[in-house]
Amino acid sequence: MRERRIDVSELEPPQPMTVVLEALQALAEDEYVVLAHRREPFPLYAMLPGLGFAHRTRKGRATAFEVLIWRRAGPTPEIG
Amino acid sequence: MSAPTAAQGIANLRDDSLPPLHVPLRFFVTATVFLVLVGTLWLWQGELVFVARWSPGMLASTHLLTLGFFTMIMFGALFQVVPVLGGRPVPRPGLVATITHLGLSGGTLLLSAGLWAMSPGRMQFALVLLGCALVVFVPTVAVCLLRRHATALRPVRFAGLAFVVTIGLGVLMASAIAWPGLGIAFRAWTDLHAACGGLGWGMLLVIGVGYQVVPMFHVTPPFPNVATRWTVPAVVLGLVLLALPAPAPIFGTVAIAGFGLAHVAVTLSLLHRRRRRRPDATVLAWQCGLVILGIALLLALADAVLPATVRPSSRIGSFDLLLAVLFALGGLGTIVLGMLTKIVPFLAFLHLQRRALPVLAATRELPPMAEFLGLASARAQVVLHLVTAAAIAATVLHPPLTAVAGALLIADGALCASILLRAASRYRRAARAIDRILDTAKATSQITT
Repeated sequence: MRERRIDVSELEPPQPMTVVLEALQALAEDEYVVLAHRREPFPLYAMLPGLGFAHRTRKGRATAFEVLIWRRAGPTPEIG
Repeated sequence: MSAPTAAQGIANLRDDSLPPLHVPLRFFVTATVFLVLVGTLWLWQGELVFVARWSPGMLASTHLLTLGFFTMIMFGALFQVVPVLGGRPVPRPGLVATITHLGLSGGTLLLSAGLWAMSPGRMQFALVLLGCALVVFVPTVAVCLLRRHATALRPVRFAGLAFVVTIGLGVLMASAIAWPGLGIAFRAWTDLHAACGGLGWGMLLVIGVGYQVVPMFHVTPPFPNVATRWTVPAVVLGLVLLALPAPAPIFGTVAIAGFGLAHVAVTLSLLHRRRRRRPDATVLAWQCGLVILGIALLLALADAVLPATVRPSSRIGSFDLLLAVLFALGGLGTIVLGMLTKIVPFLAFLHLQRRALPVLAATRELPPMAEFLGLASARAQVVLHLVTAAAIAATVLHPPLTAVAGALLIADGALCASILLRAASRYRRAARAIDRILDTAKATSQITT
């Protein structure tokens, strides 16, 4: 699967939500998003199941959090 | 059957995590009405209000401000803040908000009228109305706050606990007036009631929410772990010490003031290190509010450690009242109003974004966040509030200034109300435009299928 990395860690709200929702709408079948953020996006978590996406959060490399988001109907990416 | 597209998923999404915008907005607008009410009271009663801490006008004003303004805003904000910080969404937010809002509004008016006239009848009705509001709101929100792993909510939980203690003491004292036959010596509890309310509920909530909104909205580094771990417990310990016999209250004041001042310094430092350096009314509010809060805490600390020196040399008869004005109106009040100018446009945009998402073209109707309040209006609000707080502090020192303070407070509340109502109006226009595009898209897809 191909990784699509989005860093929203220096954006003010509501830009992070705007950016990630636009990316999810355009996400290809074989892609998943790695969302790098400085905080956990709880409102986004609540929306993802209804959009048909699953997610997993891990400690980020350069940012506090990384949220992996992929289509529930598709393959699950390898989570490092 | 093909998997739903992201857009279809959004259209079908029943988003329970965020209540409708009118839920918190009614609290925010009502809070501004209470500011206008207090200002009107001062214009009517003049300097009689400020002659003594226990004057009927001052008792009424204090509760119109603490319950009608501060608590009203904080209750409204909690509906939105709790789910964003990892808590559960408030269930049945419309119903909970309606009962809470009506009970808090009516109860506050009756409580203040009861304190004004020392009227048992009014106090009894006030207790019933406030009781209805609190019995619905407090347990409902408490359950949402107790979600495991939501460590961001820990300060808010402590603030909630302080609120419950404050209200408990308040009910005790109100009962003394409502049912004089009970023989409750209510004046013995007033200082503790004020401390729990101002330092516990007010300051802890601003600290706890600040831990999240300062890094979130202003792209600052996070608060240091040592600060987030120890500040709130230290303030809580300080409050407990305040309730104990001498000399414990001195240590309590030292703990609260010391950690409070450290929090002021850390927050100012983080704001100085924010990524986006453009002018921002909320940052101005934080900076000014924190400085004033720091001054109030320093004065309180000096008074606790050197009471024989600070209080007499200041020659201020109402030293406690001046501290309260600086702390509550100058400090917390400025910060809370500043946060409103950031949170309300954010919420409006968030709601419109979700509304628009099923059809990408509808997102064109999303106005920039700045259009909801206007940067100039937000800045004017903060400046006007600072001038008002300064006028009120001056009135404590020179009560003939009461009419000036009252007029400024009316203007302060009226400007805030107009800003919020304009944001609501902008939201409704954008929502209608978005709905038109969604209806067209739905009709088009029905025609082509």
